Amino acid sequence: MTVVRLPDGSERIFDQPVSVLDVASAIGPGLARAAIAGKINGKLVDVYSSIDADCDLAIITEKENEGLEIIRHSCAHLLAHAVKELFPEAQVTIGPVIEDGFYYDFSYKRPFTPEDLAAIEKRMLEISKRDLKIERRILERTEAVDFFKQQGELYKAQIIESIPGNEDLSLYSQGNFTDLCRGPHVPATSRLKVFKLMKVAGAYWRGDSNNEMLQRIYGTAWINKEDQKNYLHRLEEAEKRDHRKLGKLLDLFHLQDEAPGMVFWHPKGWMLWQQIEQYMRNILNNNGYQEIRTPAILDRNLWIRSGHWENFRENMFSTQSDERDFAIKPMNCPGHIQVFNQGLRSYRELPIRLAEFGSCHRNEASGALHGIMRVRAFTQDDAHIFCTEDQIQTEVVTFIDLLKLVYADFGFKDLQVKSSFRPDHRNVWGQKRNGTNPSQH
Amino acid sequence: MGTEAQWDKSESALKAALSEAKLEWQLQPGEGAFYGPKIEFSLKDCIGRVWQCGTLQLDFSMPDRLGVEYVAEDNSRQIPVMLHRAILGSLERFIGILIENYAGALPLWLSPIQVVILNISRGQAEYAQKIESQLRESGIRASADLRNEKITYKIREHSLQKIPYQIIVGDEEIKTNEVAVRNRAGEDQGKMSLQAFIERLNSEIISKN
Repeated sequence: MTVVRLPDGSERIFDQPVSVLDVASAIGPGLARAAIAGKINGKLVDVYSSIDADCDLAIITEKENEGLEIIRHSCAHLLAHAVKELFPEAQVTIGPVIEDGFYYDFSYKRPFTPEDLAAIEKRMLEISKRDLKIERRILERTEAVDFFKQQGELYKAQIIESIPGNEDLSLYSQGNFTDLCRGPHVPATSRLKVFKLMKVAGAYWRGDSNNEMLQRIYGTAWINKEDQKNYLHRLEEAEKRDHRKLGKLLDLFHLQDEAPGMVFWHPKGWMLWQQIEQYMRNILNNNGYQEIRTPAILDRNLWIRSGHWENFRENMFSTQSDERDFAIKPMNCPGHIQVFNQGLRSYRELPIRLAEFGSCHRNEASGALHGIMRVRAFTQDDAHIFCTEDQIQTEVVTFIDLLKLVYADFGFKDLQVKSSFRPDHRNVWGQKRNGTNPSQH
Repeated sequence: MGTEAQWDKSESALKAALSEAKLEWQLQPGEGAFYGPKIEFSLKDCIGRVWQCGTLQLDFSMPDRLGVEYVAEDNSRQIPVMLHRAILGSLERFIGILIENYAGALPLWLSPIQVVILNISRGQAEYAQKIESQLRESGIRASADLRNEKITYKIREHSLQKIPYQIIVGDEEIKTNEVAVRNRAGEDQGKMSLQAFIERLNSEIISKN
């Protein structure tokens, strides 16, 4: 007997082993048709997965974010399937989900053309119509390597060989196409209806420029045509508005290879900057903040004491002088604390609000840089408020009012707010309750 | 970091503050930093994209690590609470967001050049320069384009540069001591005295629209 608890708290009892799909069918035929995957005790699985012990189960449909993610992942497989049918010599490598869509990297003798893309997309629709069941099977590692070698898929074989351990591997098949994949996937290709291939780009195998250049095909996928239409419209709008293009057209700034992720501001762009900085400075002056300026380079020992060296080192630029190690600040907080710490502070002085247009550097990965939106050198409108516990609420309310005013002045009326509280590492907190875990970081 | 009591107190202070500020908010489960609770503020641009800009982060850890303290009313030494906060986030990124939100046509108060003065022919160069300097004296970021180009060419170029206002100077305007104004959308704003135009600019700048 198996007890399956559903998200609404109800329970279903089955006498014989059942699959996720069986449970969905028992709840209702509509749900069975809508089911994309299941979530057993928080773990996503295929609808064909069997349930052999009491568990919590949620049926994942298109309505859940996870449903759309799975659709996109299955679309990557559908893309690979179509490419293999049209270009049998191409070898498959990897095909993950990305924001708004998916991509798949192929090894092929030449770049795919826009005409190829159209043909591939058409073939994907055909395969979708074939309504092929998507099935998972488990192979031992050596079997899996042999399987892909036989298929001529040498990259897949390499991927498996580089997976540590001896765990079994899961393969997903639809018709005569099989891919190595953790899954889960949609139940059948017919569930993939709304997708579009977007572009082709070159990408190195394993992201290493010493390796072979692969052909990456990007696609997008959605649960309905309306969503896809809106997305494509948004994309078109975003392209028209691309700040890199406008920054050049309006002569505001430029970036160049000698300073990756660091902005050269031109006279007009700097004028814009100054308007914003002056506006913020007035706001701060009128709201009880005191502006300060702190050094960009500080002794490494300070960063060790602040915890940044331990947790943030990879993102920090460092330098040396007189045989001392220094680091360029990625944040302003330790500097502000040095200002607070000059002299003995009384409760009567609190809250103390120290503000700085703080110039910070972070060594972000070069692939993550994007115009002036994602940079390595940036200036924060940073401030630190030192206060008592009893002052937190007032300080937060005042800050939120100020923030709303500033956003409205810049023309943004629509605000989204997210809070995150105590991290739920229950064990750690359990230990902390007993006062036995003085852990820092 | 932080005692259980500190977390309780600060979390309830944040919740109370959010409701006092009449903000709807979502909880991000399990995303909290070990050193204190946090609120993230995102704004939505005019094509529906959401950009996280503001943050408010309570920190129970760093003041302790770096020896921050104050003398309390009972003369004891206490560690203060530290709030990290930013409204715009990074100025670089915020400017990128502004440029994309306004598709380059920034509101008047932010525009690097607010008004260009264009003469139709050489005869009006002096008058155009006079207007330029009067605008500048009034704190308006103005620039005269006295190039010997066709007026239609100059108008087109400055419209593409998304400069909010263009003043076109011909013999007629010199005679009546007025300015003829058009906006970057190409709409004729009529003729007016320079003083009236400056007042109009100032009220638009103050309103930030």
